[in-house]
Amino acid sequence: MREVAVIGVGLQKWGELWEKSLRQIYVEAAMNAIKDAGVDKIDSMYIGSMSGGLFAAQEHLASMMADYLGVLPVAAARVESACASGGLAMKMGWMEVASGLSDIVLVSGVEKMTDVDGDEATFALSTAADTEYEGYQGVTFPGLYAMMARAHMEKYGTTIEQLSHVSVKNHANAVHNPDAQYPFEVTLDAVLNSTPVADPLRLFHCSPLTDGAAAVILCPLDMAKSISNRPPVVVTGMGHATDTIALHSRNDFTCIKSAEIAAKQAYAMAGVGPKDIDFAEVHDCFSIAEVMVTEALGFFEAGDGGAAAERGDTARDGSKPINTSGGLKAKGHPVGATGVAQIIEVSRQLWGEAGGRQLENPKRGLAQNMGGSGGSSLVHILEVRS
Amino acid sequence: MKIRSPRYWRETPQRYRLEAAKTESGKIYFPPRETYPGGESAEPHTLADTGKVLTYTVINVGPGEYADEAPYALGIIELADGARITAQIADVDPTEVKTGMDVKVEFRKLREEGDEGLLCYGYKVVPVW
Repeated sequence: MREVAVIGVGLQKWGELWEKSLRQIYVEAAMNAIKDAGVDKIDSMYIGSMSGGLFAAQEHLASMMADYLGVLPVAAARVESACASGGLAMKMGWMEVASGLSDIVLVSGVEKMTDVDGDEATFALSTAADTEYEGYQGVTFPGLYAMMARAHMEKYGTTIEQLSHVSVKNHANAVHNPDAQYPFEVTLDAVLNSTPVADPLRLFHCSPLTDGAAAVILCPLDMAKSISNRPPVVVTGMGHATDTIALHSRNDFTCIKSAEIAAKQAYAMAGVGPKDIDFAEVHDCFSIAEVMVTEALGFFEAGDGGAAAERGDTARDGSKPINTSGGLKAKGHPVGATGVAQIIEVSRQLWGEAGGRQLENPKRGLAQNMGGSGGSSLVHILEVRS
Repeated sequence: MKIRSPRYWRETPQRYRLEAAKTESGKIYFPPRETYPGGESAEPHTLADTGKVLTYTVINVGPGEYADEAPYALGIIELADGARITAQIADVDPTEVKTGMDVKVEFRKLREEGDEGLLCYGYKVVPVW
């Protein structure tokens, strides 16, 4: 297999982009990535999107996005793994370049979530769970993560204050991210007293509904050196695993097993362990998810993820900075775009292009993206080569 | 989204009568499947109708046609035979629900669906005091 490098990234300021359509936000991000990479063609493209159908009454994004990007008849595929669709697009693009099938691949993700009202959006998201045996009973995603949060609290003594520290930290990071949906700080009190959504989770423990797209350009490492002046950011590890569609089918509600398995695969491929990772972008769809994922990735002992957030270990100046972008909570969570945007943040940190949130000279970062209540997970490890 | 009637009645053996399957090694699958992990075979099994709350939440913002039902309690229930289901916890003030609470499964109306108001039935659990 060939080594694969990220040579360009693009997105836009995320938020409730009323004046822009699904195709417009997609093309904007893709064009930004193509310009950033300085390439004059792409050989193939992958589009991660959870539900163009339910959110914007539009399927067949392969044709639409290749058409509106003006790259016909390039091969395009829309891939879906709920909230991990972007991470899956990254895997597909990486495989295509690594295998030698294509040289320049556009990996992208998009979701337009505000063309439907809140109830419909909640329903659309709930289809990432088992529609007949969870959704039919009235489950929501905040509800599923709330049940995991309660189990984690009762097993390990995790507190609502600890979960709230995750939100406070991610908002503090987003202040320095001009692309973030919510680039402002929130206080611990504001989080603790926000509107109840699914007990024990409140509004500020939940990621928002967001319109947004994200795109990166991949190419073989050998080619990257001649196209880009940046130090190459290379994909050195990849892992991908699944778990039951219904939360109730799992033995343990306090851990995300798919993330644990995907991480083990990625660590093995990269020849590193959790302690070798300088920073990570993880899937904090709810604050409890960041806690459980940082445990699944081996950054903290099982049960210590909440305390780690409270101690400041996951802050930008902590021992393991998590979600310097602001995470899903504050940067926004346009479902299909999220996994690709994580790759963008890791790349920017490794290039030293993360502005006011730049970490000091990081060498190796990890991105973890998951679908539903953890029914699928992807982990990518990226390293900068000097 | 409207459920067309075949999609509804196809699930009625499970939702109305708790029909499940039990493999040779004793693991219960609900609903029954076409194939079982490890190549095990399975026999029909009816789920136990009592159990305990393993974890729960109170939904304040409901999805689609449950939007007007909120707030409601919902939990993962371990039944007496070891099977697990997700179900609403009814006939109780949601603030009084606790982990470990004894519950029994009851046949209930869950919601009305679509403009036609299709009545959707299934199971909920209620506390055993």
